[in-house]
Order: sequence, then C-alpha cells, then structure tokens
Amino acid sequence: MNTQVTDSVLQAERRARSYWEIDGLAVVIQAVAVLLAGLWFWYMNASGAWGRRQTDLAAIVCIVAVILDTIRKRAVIQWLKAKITYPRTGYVAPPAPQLSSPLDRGFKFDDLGVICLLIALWAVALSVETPWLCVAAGIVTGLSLWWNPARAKSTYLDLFGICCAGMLAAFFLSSIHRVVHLQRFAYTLTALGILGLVKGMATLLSYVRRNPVAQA
Amino acid sequence: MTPELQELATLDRLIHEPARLMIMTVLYAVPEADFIYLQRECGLTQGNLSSHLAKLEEAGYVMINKTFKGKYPLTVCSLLKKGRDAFEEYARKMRVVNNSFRK
Repeated sequence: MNTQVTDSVLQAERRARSYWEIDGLAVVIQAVAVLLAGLWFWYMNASGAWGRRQTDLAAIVCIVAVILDTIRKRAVIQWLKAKITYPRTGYVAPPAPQLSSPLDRGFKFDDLGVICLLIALWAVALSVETPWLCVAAGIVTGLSLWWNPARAKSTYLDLFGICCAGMLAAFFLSSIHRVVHLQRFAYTLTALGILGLVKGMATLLSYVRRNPVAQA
Repeated sequence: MTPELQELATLDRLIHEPARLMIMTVLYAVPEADFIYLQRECGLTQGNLSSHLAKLEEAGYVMINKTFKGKYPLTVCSLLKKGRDAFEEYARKMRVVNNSFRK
C-alpha cells in the first residue's frame, strides 16, 4: 500500500485502539474490582471486630462482586459507554489486537530498566519497613509517571506507576500503624483501588466536560 | 506519458474525493464505526458525511446499519469486501504513481 495511505490507516487504527480508554470508564471499573478485593481482605482481617458470620457473608459478597466484575467487565463498560460515550463522541469497534512483540511496539530497554528499578525498590521496601524508603520509591514512581506521557508511549508504565503509588500509600500506612501482613495487602489493594478510581473519575469528568452530548 | 503516470487516469474517482478518502481510510482501519465517530474523525458536517456515505453505499463499498447499543440508537458503518478491495487497489495505484515520480 502507498506509504501515505498506510500511515493514515495506521493512525486511524491507533486512534480507534486508544478510543476505548478515552473516557476513563475502563479504569474506573478495574479500580472498583481492586477496591472490592481490598475490602474483602479488610473483612477477612476484621473477624475480631465482627461476628464470624458477618465477616464470612461480607467476604462472600465481595468475592462474588469481584468475580462478576471480572466476567462481566466488558459488558458493564459497554453499557456505561452506551449511556456516556456513544452519545458524545460516537462508537467504534476496536481493531483486532496486535500480535507483535513488545519490542515491535516500541518497548525500549531503558523502560525495562525503570521497571526493574521500581521492582527492586519495592522489593527492598517489603523487607525494610521505613517510610523514607517509600518516599524514595514514590519519587521514582512519580518520575516514571511523568516520563511516560512525555514520551507519548503506551500506558504500561502508567499502570505500573499507579500500582506502585498504591503500594506507596499502603506502606506508609503500614509503617505508621504497624499492621499485620494480610492487612498490609488490604491497605495496598484499597489504596490502589482508590487511586485508580480517582484517576478514572478525573479522566471521565474531563472527558464529559470537553465533549457535550451531540445534538441531533 | 509513462504508463505509471497513466495509472492516475484509472484511479477510482469515488474514493479519490478527499472526504470519501478520509471515510474509507477510517473504515478500513476498524471493523465498524458509527456516524458520530466518523463525523468527528473526518471533521465533516452531518449533511456532508451523510451524502458521501450514501454515495459509498450506492457503490457497494460501505454497509450502513441502524442498530441500538442499549437504548442508544447507532448508525453503524462498515466497509464491505468490494470497498476494501477498491481501497487497496486505489492505494496500489497511488504507490505506482508515487514510485514513478521518485525515479
């Protein structure tokens, strides 16, 4: 195909692929699932404060909600998009997924370096319980978040950054309150869910404000 | 005139029109898209897009389907096999002409 036509087709394909994320709904739904999982761990830990039956019931409700969310996620997002996105900016079916390797998609070794650094940092933060290490990890996480949009890359670093920010919040809380191990996991998931929810809602609100409903 | 350059005369005029070329490009890249999405991507007015789509549909290049997503009505457009082949042929001819200029 002619290079210019190919470029235009590729550009249209890229735009259609990123269209799924344009309104932040996918992030909101994923964040809700993570938040529910976090709450489940909270309830699992709260057996001292709650009656055993109540804890079990709450845990079952959370598990069912997480499973339903996982199975029906796409259907729920589609339903929400039909209410919010399609009347504003229209509908497009996403193109078939690319089967190319991460290296073909522009994955660079310096990105791999940042990810390894973050993983190493959090691994140390897991073993040494000090908030100052979390501050360092938070700074690197923030830098990776800043670095990604500046280079207009895919969102894997963005997502990883959010995950690490959730870990940061969790470790801060765990250091202050000296919580037990399972509670730390609950803190992590809850913080991650809240952060995802905030990010998704911010994207959604900005999208809704920028795109009023199209008049017929 | 070189034979490569003569390819210009055989270009599909239906696709060669800029607005329709934009529509065909977007529809070639995705399985289906609705009227509002096409309007925003191509920057066309409702009437303009409607008339170009009607011409493409008449030629058998595009299929227009009125459907619902939940309660929201959608006018979904997709490229048919004939349209896909015509677009690929158009791009091939453009490449031939483009290469002849570079020689």
